[in-house]
Order: sequence, then structure tokens, then C-alpha cells
Amino acid sequence: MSALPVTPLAPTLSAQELARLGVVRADALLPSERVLSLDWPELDRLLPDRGLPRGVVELSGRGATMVALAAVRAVHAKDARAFAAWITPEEEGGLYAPGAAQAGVDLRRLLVVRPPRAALARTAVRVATSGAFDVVMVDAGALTDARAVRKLGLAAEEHGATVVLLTPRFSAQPSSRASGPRAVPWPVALRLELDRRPEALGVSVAKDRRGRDTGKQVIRIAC
Amino acid sequence: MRIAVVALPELRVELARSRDGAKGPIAIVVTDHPRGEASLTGGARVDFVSDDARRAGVAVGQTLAQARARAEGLSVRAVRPAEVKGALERLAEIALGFGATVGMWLAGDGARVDAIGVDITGCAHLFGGEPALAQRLASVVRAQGHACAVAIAEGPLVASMLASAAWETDRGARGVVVPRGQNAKAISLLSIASLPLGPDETRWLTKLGVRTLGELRRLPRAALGARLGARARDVIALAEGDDRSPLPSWKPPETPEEFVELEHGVEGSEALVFIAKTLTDRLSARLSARAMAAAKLELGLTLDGALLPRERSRRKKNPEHVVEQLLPVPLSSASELLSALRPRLEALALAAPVLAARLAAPTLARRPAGEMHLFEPEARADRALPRLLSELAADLGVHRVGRLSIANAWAPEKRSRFVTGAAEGAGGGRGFLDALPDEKGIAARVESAPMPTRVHASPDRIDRRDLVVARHLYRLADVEWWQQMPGAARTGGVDHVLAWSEETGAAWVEIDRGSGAAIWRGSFD
Repeated sequence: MSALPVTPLAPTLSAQELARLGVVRADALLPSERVLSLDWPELDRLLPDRGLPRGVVELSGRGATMVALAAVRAVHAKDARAFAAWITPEEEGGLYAPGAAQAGVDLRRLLVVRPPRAALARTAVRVATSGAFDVVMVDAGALTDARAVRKLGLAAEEHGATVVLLTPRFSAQPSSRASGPRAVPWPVALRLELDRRPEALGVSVAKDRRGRDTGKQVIRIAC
Repeated sequence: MRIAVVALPELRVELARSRDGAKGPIAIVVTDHPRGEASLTGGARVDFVSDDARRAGVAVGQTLAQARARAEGLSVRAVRPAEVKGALERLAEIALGFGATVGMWLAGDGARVDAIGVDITGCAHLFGGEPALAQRLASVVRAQGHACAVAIAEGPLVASMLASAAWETDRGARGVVVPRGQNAKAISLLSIASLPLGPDETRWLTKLGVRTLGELRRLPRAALGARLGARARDVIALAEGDDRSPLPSWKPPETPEEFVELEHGVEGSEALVFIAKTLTDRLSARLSARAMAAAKLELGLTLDGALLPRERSRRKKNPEHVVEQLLPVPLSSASELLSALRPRLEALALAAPVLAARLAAPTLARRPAGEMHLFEPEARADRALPRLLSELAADLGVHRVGRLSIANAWAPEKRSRFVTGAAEGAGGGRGFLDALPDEKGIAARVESAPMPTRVHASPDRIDRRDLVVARHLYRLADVEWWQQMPGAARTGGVDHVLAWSEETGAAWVEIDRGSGAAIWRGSFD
């Protein structure tokens, strides 16, 4: 019996190349490690990826802290050694420790940095590029530089982390009342607009990777 | 007693070369003169020579004029005894990582070459045996930029003799390890010049045709005793491999410190970072040997007083500018120590060039010995957090980096506490990475009520009429009365409520029950 001819193996194709050819890998149908599930089923269901994607996410409006705390809690619950970071300009009020603890955050694994407002962008980029955190929260009301957001995106992609920018309401709109209009839209993977009411949280996806814009959906919350 | 000796025959040449990068043949004169090379005349005697200078015919004891005549392009450098002692002390401290007692010998001060010794009795198994320990010790010393030869034997003098011989044989490429009870056999082929004898005794033995210690052992003891006098017993015992001399014990200073003196004043952050790198490399090696980490760094920069404004230089000739850096997490690796200093150095504006630099670790903490798991990856925070914290502390200030803690207080606004690295770093241990005990006592009693998530930096008064109270949280009356001024009127207490308005959203509001005034303390964001 003659030996079978040896053919060289085809070069390995990336998932993107396979998708272009119409081939979907089975693991693409499984819950992705590139998504940070919030362990909040009502909210996860409303999000395009069933969680916060890795990369830069903007949470805008009232209720952003509640969602951000849920993300930190999820990171802490998933890995007992994981750390999260929360960056707030020192001129602004900060997190309330009993409230964060009540939300399920392990305060011992939450680094809090209070830079001066002028050093906010620099500090956020440094923290994100360190690779020490699964999730980095930035109170970004004073952040105006889109280049810093791009750097944060690169750092988050490189280290597989989620950087969450918490911004006041209306700040993304041209006629902003809160912090002025943005000259350039921020390059974020997901932008959620939130509206906290006494017993409900309104959520609308203003932007995601696929460019979707959903209407406002409401989640009931315990008060 | 098992002793490892590291012979450093080229130490002084290396010190001279490291100062200005001198290449080619070099002759060393040991002098304490403050003017260094400028003080040397042609009549000064050479104390040490480099290998290439020796090959060119330069020898120890020649005058500088004779040496220069023999070797073209000979560089002459002055080395201060304190400089040599400092280098030996650093290596001795590093050697503390291999045994509990260390000692050192300076060439010309009762020893043929500069050397350090470490008592490794009972320690060798920690390194996988004596040959592995010798190899590791040699590699640690070579990593500091020093050529060396290592020998392990019973007794410091025998080990020292064998280390010198190993250097002459193959430049210390192979360490010498003498098995227990084999001292006499190991040294039998060594020259009698390696014994601690004076020139007269050595010459007499050479005339007798005795060249090695093995031949010396065959001589009648009575005749030797008559000739060698008081030292006969020790010398004969040593020739037979019986070395009972003690290791000269050296005790490290309480605060590890490194010092660099510069040939010319330097300016600019780049040059300062380069100097800081040398210092952190050396300090890190010292800390590793102690199994300690630095919780605080102190960098002293000696400024050139001649170039300072007159009013500043009047107080001291060359004043020292001190940079202190508290570390939220104790650090020991060289790169982490440097990253903690770098932002401070880059922001530094000095009034004059730097002539010398000193780096000390005045506060030390025990370095935690963490075991790595074979199958679980290292936590990303464990790897990256110490460096990040030190960088942030250096850049922003240690008081801006920390974490939240729950304080045991009745007043809700006092229950949230920002614990900074400054408070934790001084405590030692793993600093920030160690668990903080939460004082949950009072907070635990009221945690059934919903808690606000945000607290305002400066609480504002707010018009109560605009608010809709959604939920009453708790009422406080006469709490922490001991903190009020004596004679101050007692208030009727306060109510904390979750209130709502279009302007504030879900707000944490404190309402004075007496006056009805409302204060917006935070948000349920």
C-alpha cells in the first residue's frame, strides 16, 4: 500500500476571516468571555451582548453608579482575586462605602484613585494600561479629550478589560446642558443612557458595535 | 563549619572602570586623598593592576613612572579604601541571602585578595546542595558586575586559599567544593605563597625546595616550629587542612543604603533616572538578601554648592536635596523601585548639578513569600498592582490613592472612609494588598435600609418644598453628643430620607427635625 500523499495544512483562519466566508464557529454561540455579564438578568437581557463588552463603555445619566457597581460586583464574584478600580476627580464627591458594600462590592478589592481634575485622563490611561484590573470605572464628567478615550479603548482591548466611563446626562448631545457638547463622538463600544426613577431604571442603548439604537426600556428596582 | 568564600581579585579595577568607563590597561593606587588622581605623582606606587596591564609588564609595587614606561596608554586611577569597603559591604549583605553570618576581607589588610565569606552550615539543602549554592552565589555576585571565584570548604582560610587558586586557574569559571574531611587533600597542591606567612619564612621554605603545602606537610614539625615561631602551630594546622579560624562577622546596617559619587555634576531628569537605576538595582539586591521590601524610599541628591545661589549655599557647602516617597505597597524588585521614583525625578527641578546620590529604605516591611500555583495563572492584580500603586503615589501623591472602608460611626456621612496608601504603607506587611478590617458595627445595624451610592464633596442646602420624600431611612437624635461643644443646645435630631425631585433625582437628604432645613448629602445614583 502506497503512503498517502502528505498535503500541507491550510493556514489557520481567524474568526473574522471565517465569518467573512460564512462559517460561524460553534464557540461564537456560547457566552463570550469578551462580555462582562452583570448578573442582573433584567438588565443583561436588554444589552446587545447580554452584558458589558470588553472595551470602553459609556454609562450616561442617573443610575450609572448603580450599573457600574453591579459590574464591579460581578467581577468580584467571578474571581476571588480580581481587583477593580474607581477613578473620581478629587473635586467631586465620591462613592459612599456602605452603599457600595450593600451593592455587593468587596471594598478590599476596589482601588480608589482621586486625581486632580486636570490629571484625570492621564490617570485613567495609566490605570487601564497597568493590566491589573478586570474593570475600571472613571467618573468622566470632566473628561473632554476623545484621544484619551481612544487610548483607554486600546488599553482595554490589550488587557481584556472593560473601562466604564460614567458621564452626566446629555453630555453626548450637541446641545448639552451638563458639560458642553462633544466636538467628536467618543469611540466607545457601547453607550447606555440611563434614567433612574425612585422604583425604576430606564435603559436605552444609544450606541453599540452594530450601531443599534433601541428605545427606552424600563426595569423595576427595589427601593 | 562550612564556609563559602567569594574571591574578588578584580574588584578595585572594576570600581575604577565603572566610574568613568576607562578601557585598556589600568593601574590602581589606593589613596584616601580627596583630590583622587590629581594628587598622584610619578613616585606613587601601584597597588593593583588589571590583567592587560600585568601582561604589558606592569607590576604591583612599581612607581607610576615605571609603570607608564612599560605600558603605553596605561590609565591610572585612584580608589579610596572607603569605596572598596562599601562595595564589599554591599556584596556581604547580598551574601546574607545564603547564610546567617557573613564576613569580609580587604586585600592588603591580612588577605591576598578582596573577598567575602558566608557561613553556609545547614543552608546548602535550600539551594539543592553545595555545588548549586556555589554556582548561585557566583551568579548573584557577577550580576552586580564583579568577576569572582567561589570555593566552599571547612574553615574560612582554606576556602579563601582555594577561591584564590580557582581564580588563578580558570578565572573562577568552576566553583570549588571540598567534601567534608577533605581539606588537606584539596590544598596539598596549593603554593606555600597562599599561606599567611611573611616574606622571610616563604623565602626560607623556597630555599628548602618546598613549593606546595603537600611538601610542607612532609617536613619535620619540630624544625618547622623552630623556624616559624609563634605562628608555627596555626600554619602547620592549616597546611594539614585543620582550619579553626573564625569568620570575621559583619553586621549589616539597620537601614539599607546605597551611595554613588559622580565624577562630574549631572543635570536633567534622564541622567538622574539613569543614576537612580544603578541605585535601585543595588538596593534591590540588598533587600532581597534580607527578604525585606521597602515601604519608604529616601533619595538624597548632593548638589554642587558652588553653583547654588549664594543665600542657599551659605548654610552648607554641598547641600542635600531629599526626595521622600512613601510606598502604598512595599516593593523590593529593582524595576518597581525605579518606577516609584521615576515620576518624582521627572518632575524635579534642581537649582544646581548633582554631585552624589544616596538611596535609602528607612522603613522596611517583611516581603511576603508567595507560592506560585502550578496550574492556576497568577492573578493579574498581584503582578501589576504594586508597580501601579507606586507609580500613582509618586505621580499624584500617596494621599490620592487608597480604598474605601466602612467606619464605625453613628453619623452616616462619617461612615464612608477613604483610607489612603499613606496610612497603609507605613504599616508594613503587604500594605494596600493586606485586608483592612471593616468597622461595620453601627453600619451593620442600619444596613437593612437602602444606602446611597454617592456622597457629595460639599453638601448643599436644598429647598424642601421641591422634594417628594419617597422613603424614610432612619432617624438620629443625640448621637455622638460627646463631640458637641459644651453648652451647645441639643437639637431635635435629624431624619435621613430618600427624596425625589427632577433636579436632584433620587437624593439622600438630611432633614433637621427642629428647623426643617434640608441638606442634600448624596445620591442614590
